[in-house]
Amino acid sequence: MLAARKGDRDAFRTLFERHHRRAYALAFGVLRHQDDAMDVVQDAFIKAHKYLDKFEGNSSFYTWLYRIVMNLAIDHLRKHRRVKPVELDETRLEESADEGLLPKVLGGNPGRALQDKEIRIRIDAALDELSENHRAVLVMRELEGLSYEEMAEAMACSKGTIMSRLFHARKNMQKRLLDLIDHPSKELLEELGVNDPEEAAAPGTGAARGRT
Amino acid sequence: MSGKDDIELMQHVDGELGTLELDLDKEGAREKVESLKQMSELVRGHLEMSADAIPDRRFEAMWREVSRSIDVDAPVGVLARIRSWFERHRGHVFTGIASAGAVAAIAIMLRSGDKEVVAPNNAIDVQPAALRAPPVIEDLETPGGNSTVLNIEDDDGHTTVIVVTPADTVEGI
Repeated sequence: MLAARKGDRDAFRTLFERHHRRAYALAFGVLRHQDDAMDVVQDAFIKAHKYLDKFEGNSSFYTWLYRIVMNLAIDHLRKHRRVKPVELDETRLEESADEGLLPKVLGGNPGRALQDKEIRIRIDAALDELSENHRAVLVMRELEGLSYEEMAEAMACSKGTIMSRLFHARKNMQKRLLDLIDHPSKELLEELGVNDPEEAAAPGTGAARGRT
Repeated sequence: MSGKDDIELMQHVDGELGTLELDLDKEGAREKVESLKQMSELVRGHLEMSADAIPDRRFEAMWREVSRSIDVDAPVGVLARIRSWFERHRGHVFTGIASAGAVAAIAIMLRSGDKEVVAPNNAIDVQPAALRAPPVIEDLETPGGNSTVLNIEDDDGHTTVIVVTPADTVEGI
């Protein structure tokens, strides 16, 4: 990091090599478009290099970089917004939360489940259908583990708004993945290690474990 | 469980409740917590796998663009480098100038200024030795010539003029 700040190109390249994929994952999660995400990551590294001497070193380089990526991604969304997203009134979180989270789990190992193409297509579709703000908050939380406070700062809104966006984003994701949980494909069941579909449908086991 | 309870559950999963204890024995609470954790894992895993699927050559091309852009931005020539340094350290330079100005201002304020110095009545009038007894030159030996000393007293005071005349010389001796 110090060498990069002194203008060492190789040192900056090392930083690039170390963080480019993670930065891309963040940008892609928010933008849902490969080329746009690549552009944002590229701009983020250029900007990071330009202002490297302003990086105070209080946080890790990646923490600093993801803020730049996130700001650029949010700016990109604002500039290229084609459809105004319809969102719930975020100031009335508790009323709109009447419909709660679903107590349904996939069972088995989600990491293994991700080997299933169908699941990944379904997650992609679910992410696509979220509003931009809901998706941005969800990605910041799930990918980077940002606190509500940090997300509020990044998105220039209140902590309550962040909480509301995250709650609705997760609830909507659950709804969109519900069909997958209720009617798992044969391939998914195999991935999850469930041989008997009857067993999967039984409460507390397999793909439908936890259903109430 | 109400939606409000679910929001608390979500805060619990996200570590935003601090030390507040949450009753997870309520109906479906544990399943909801588990469901949230699984979804986090799915979303994170899915996005990481999406990033891993991008071929290296695309990131190589990205690095070339980043590198090229850094080159374009890099200042060329000594003056440009100095300007660039100034641009980057402008804040420090201005802070330094402001600090120096403040120190100078304080120093001027603390100076005694143009106070008149008053001598006590019984002060002894001391004059420099040179003024008290100016030398009077009446004659001067000048090797290889003659000199004339003139002491002139006029309105401006005492003036001594020394005229030196070189001795006659004969060519060839």
